[in-house]
Amino acid sequence: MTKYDVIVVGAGPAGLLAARSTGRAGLKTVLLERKSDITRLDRMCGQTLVSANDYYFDDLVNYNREGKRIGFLNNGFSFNYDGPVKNCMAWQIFSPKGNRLPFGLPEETSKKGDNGAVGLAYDKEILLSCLLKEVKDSGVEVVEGIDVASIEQDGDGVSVAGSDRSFTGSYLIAADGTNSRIARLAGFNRDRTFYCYLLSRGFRMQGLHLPADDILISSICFDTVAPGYMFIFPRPYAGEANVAFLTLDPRVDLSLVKDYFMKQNPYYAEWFKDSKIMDQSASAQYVFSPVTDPNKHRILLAGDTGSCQELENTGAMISGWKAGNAVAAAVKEGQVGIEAKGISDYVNWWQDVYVNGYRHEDYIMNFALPYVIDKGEDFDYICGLAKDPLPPCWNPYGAIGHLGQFMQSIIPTIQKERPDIMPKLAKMSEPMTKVLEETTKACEPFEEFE
Amino acid sequence: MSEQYDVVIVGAGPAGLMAAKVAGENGLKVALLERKESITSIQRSCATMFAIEDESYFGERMYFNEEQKRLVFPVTGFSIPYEGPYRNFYTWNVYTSDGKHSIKLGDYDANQAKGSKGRLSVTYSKQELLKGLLSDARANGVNVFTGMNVVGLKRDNGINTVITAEGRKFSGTFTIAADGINSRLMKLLDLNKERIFYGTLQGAGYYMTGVDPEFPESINFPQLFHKASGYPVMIWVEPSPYGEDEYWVYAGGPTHPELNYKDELDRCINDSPFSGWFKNAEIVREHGHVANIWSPSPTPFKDNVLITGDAGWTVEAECTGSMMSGLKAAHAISEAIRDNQPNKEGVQNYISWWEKHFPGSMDYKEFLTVMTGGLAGEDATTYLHKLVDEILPCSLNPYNLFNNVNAAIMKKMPQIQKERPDIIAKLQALGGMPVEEQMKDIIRSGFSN
Repeated sequence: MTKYDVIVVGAGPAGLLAARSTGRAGLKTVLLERKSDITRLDRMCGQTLVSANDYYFDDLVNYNREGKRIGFLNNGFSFNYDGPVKNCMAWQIFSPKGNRLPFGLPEETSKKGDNGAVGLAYDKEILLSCLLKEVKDSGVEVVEGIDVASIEQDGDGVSVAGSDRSFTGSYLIAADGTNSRIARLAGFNRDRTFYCYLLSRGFRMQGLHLPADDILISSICFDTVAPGYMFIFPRPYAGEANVAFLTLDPRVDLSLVKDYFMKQNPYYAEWFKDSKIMDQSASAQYVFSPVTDPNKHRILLAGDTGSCQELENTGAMISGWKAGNAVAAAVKEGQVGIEAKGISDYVNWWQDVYVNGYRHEDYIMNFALPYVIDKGEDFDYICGLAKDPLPPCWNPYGAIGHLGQFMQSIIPTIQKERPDIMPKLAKMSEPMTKVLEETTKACEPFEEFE
Repeated sequence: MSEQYDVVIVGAGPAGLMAAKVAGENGLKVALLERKESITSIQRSCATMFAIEDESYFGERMYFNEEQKRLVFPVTGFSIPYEGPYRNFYTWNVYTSDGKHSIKLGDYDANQAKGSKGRLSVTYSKQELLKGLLSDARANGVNVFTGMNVVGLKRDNGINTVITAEGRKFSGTFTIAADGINSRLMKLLDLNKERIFYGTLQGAGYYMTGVDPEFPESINFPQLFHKASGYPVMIWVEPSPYGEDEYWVYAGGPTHPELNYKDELDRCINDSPFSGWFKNAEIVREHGHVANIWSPSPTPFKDNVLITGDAGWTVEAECTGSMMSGLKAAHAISEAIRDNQPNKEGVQNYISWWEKHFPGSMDYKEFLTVMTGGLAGEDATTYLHKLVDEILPCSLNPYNLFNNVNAAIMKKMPQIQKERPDIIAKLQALGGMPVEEQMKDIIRSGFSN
């Protein structure tokens, strides 16, 4: 049986970037994907790049419009993407009545042109096919339709089996996403804190009447048994948007959340009155604390496999690229018999930049907000206090920082006008395990995750 | 009216072309200026080996991926296509001047038997490497100007303007100095005043066919001595990538008024213990070079000029270090412009990287041992080298090439003490001097720019 230098499991953004790095480095690489068509997307995905106006995982994503390349300037790599891109000029959180907490105003940010964008909307199917082409050009063997069901580790390698095939390699890069089976099988999940699920339904839509068609929108439904969320992501095609409904609580029926926004709430129903659904998607994923050490016996976790729900596409690309290079360096080091430094470079990056550099609790706070301010009227009231826009932002970690400063600034007003809200706000500084306690209980794991 | 760019890159060697390609890929408006009319024609002597396949070099472990024909820099995390010809070589052999003995760095037969897995590295075609980078740069919208001899640099209102001998002006937010060993930009920035000058290296050579050295697929390295001055003369005979039967032959060393390296090379070929290698040899074409030896630049950044490759380093960063620094500088500039920080803070990423990987990981003084190695003179050098009869591990890293040789000689100290106490005294005297003192004559006969 062929022994590969590296097996990459999962052909999303992380796995593709990892395989491109190892393939270009001359490592005998096989890329395994469960789906029968890598470039077809049926999971819900907002399809935006976080963040266009701020550092994210210590890097700045760059889109070269003329050259049609997406680049990461700090790490120093780029790839071809020849699909359409649309600038997202702001992110605005809407309350049930339509009061806004705006991370930027498009009329202001657009004065800076392309540089004013907070995020970039793109077409993920095109992105995947562009990356897949570069992967194939790098000599990588790509096998679709392989559902990896088991792994075996020995002294100098890793074997995986699934869909009646098996593969052996010196290293394995697990890029099988947020519900990674490899992370579970290899025991990476044992030390992680389980918070909840994130369930979603997505709709590609046309004919929406939005307050602006180049902003990212989120809103909260307080009428269901637990909070439901709506996100609207611009799409890089005229008149289209991706609309997603999400919840952290499996008791919530997402079709009720959809009806709330599309039909029942008069403010939002206006947006949807002439809309048309083009396509649907869904997702269900675990929300864990991050894996602190992404390396175990020649298995490296890349992308969402070891993250708190998601690294976003940009974080997945950086970590996949880094993991691929680390394995290439390690294989080379092994060949010439010198101290292996490659893998530790990746582990150090993961720990310094992701685990310690970006607090995962801040990430979760983005979703936990309605668990703190748990009434629609209270949320209307707080959003109504935003007289000035918050800094333009499309970055879940940065947003929480800006939100914290905003809350500080309005505390004197709340104390005066609505002292009853004060005890709720104190909850913001509690650990997320406490804030989401009830939800965690409601989320009986649907698969043994340890 | 001068033209306006995000970055003006001076010099289209490996560092400048790499920087241009990457800046272009990132969507910057780039001007690449080259003094020569043809970027891809190389007349300067260059050993064109890829350093380094076997160990860490500027923190990188670069290697050549034969299947996909890519040069891979896994630590920095990039690779570039190289479709040109190449030749494996397996050992490095340092010959005494009488031709009777060689120190063998690497086991020729054992390494050669392993094929490309056993090689030290490959010699490659610099023309082809530059051609590939240039076509990538052009495909990414880089504006290429050849025949541009940059003689001036001005900074006004945050804009750098470089001025050519013909008076053409190119303005940009940033400038990249990729103009090599004898960088004019370093001089214009007054940075050479802060560097220590260690003399001038010169060399001359031929591409030859019909050469027949003892170890054909090796770097054959006779160490001769100039009769009048006693200066060491390095001879290189290594496989040329341009033909199965072709060799790159070179003689070089420190400048001395009475020393003509072309004469030394001809002496080696026609009238030396090594003449037998050249009985049927024919000259295909000639090459030559002059290079000043400086301590590294105190900084890789001044007045929005980013210094890359050999421009700010001691003699040579090699292709490896040059391409890495070109790539890093271009990304840093893209980041600074994207971040609207067109200043030192904006490119801090490059400055920190350079400090860590250049002076932070390589001791330039080790490089000088290539020059000081023969200073004990012909008699002592020949005696000492003849003591080394074991096969030594080989490194392609010029910064520690002679470390293994010196360690092997150290093991023979008791014998030397007994047989040649005069040599011990000579070595001790040299060893007790700072390198500037050892190289005093070399420094005096050099000419700094």
